[in-house]
Amino acid sequence: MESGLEVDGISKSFNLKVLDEVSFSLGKGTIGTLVGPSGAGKTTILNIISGFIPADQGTISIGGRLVERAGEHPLRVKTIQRDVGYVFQDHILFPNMTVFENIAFGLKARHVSESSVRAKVGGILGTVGIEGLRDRTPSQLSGGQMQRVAVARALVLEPKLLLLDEPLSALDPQTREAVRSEMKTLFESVGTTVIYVTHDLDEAFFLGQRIGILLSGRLVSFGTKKDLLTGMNQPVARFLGYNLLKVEPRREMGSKCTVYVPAWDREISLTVLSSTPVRIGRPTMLAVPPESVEICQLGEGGSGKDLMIEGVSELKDSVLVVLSNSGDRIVARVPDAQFQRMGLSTKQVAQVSFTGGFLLSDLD
Amino acid sequence: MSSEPESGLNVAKGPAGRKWIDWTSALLWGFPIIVILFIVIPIASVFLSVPGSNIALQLVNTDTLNAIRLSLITSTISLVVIVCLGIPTARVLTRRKVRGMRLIDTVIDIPIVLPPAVAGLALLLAFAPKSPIGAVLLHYGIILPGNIAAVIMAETFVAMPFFLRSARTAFEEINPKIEMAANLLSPSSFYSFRRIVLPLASRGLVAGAILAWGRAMGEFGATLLFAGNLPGITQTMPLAIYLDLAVNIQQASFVSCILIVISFAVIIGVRYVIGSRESFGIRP
Repeated sequence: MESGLEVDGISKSFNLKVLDEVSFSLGKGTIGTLVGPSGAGKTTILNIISGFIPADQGTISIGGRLVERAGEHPLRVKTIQRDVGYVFQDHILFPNMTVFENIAFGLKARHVSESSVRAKVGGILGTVGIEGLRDRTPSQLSGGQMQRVAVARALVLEPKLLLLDEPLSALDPQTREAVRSEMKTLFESVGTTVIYVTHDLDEAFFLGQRIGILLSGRLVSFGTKKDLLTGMNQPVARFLGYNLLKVEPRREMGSKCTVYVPAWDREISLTVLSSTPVRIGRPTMLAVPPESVEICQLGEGGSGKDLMIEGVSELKDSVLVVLSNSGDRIVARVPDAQFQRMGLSTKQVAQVSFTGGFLLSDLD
Repeated sequence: MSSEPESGLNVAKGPAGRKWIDWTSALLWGFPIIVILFIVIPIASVFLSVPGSNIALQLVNTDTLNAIRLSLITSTISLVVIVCLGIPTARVLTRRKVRGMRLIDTVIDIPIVLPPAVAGLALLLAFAPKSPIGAVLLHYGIILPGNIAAVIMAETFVAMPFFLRSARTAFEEINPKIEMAANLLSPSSFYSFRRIVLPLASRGLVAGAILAWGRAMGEFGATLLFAGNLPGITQTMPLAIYLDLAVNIQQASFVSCILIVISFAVIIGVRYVIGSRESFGIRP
């Protein structure tokens, strides 16, 4: 597959290390998402790829062309020559220009003929679905409209790589969902390689054909959703909010496995979701998604562990139940109706079992 | 307790419905009244000292006309020089991290705090024919003191910092990401500057230019010491007032009236320009 972007061993420090040997690659036309909490280095990696700031170490190639090489024989291709489009978090439009002029800016700066400018801008206005806004100024646009214009302005120059820095974070949930779907369709139709940075996991999984998880400057995982889940590791599990327990696999039967939980002094049976081979008898870590934690009332005949309900948080259509027993904390996500049926509440004891989990390859 | 802040004084109703005045508030209002009177009374005195029938007579006075003409010409040329030097200077000092920025800032601000007479003496010592630079100029037949160029130099010297301050603020207020976006889209940074930065900073630049022009129009001390007070050659309006004061106070008042009107126009102009600044491009 033709290369869209190759990032190899990129490190960067601003007194503190913000990026630590980040490496990943994307095929041409692939949508990659980088997800991580605030301060993980997401914007810094975009700024290095775009050429706004230099890397301390590593190389970057865009469309097979080396644009950044830090180290002994440094190479830095100017931002403008990297053929990169950039959409900022706070939809930075030129306030003194109309939507048409904003989109046409890059073309006019390149001395593209007036008729060609009209044709290209008209085309991209149609592709992004904002034909009716062409004569409006940014102050007359909503947040979602501004973001569409910003994307159109970047795409009209047909860049090899489009970088988006949390473009939807300032939008309300309804608009965000709508624009997200439009963007996915748009990116897939234009065929540009895309790096989309977000702190929203759902957004990252929805948009990304390749998903990277960036934590404290380290890319702890990069691949398809399947790669990410089957090759789960502890940092990823923590970031996804999974429950982590030290276990010892005892028996394996197909996809089912019985593990011994030393903290509970009990064996539990569950479906193994990871692809790493189960090592019978060797201590390992088990990561359980809150959705795979089952709770029921005492005496209902389960083989789980009795834990006390420490707290209950109501979500839109489910309930987050926090249970604990002498320091072990388990979070379960239970459908609203099911929780109501059980009639459980805080400080009551419930029986906890797992339907599935990831057996991780790393214990520490 | 009800109060009526729109009246300026806090007036409230007592238990029997009797109105009483908040005397602290009343006393506080005394201070701005004193300040306003301190400004208005001298200005009004200037207007009152000009008899109406004299105006036409004064207008035809050649020296007065020359002074007005010279003031307009020199202050306008000074403004052009200030804007041409000031925009690139302000731009460079705004976005670039320069070592010794505080020292540069101090140097640029010196003319604001320097007594104009000292500024005039400094220019004289630097550019008079006996100085090294003056000697070079003399070699080419240029003698600055007593020349209209000296008037322009003196006005530029004292008015430049007013424009620079305003221009730097105008550039600093533009969201840096707007410039990043422009530079990402345009191969020419000058194109980005011309099409994005300059229009966004324009109101601040115009306000600074008006202030600088007003300062140049009112320049007196530095011009007197460096350029001299030669009617028709270096005598600007403030210098004409100074000379007229000894011989014809009504004429001095008349020229003063013109300067006061110009000052008013400058203030109104600046207020209009700053007041009309829209939120675009300005960081919250």
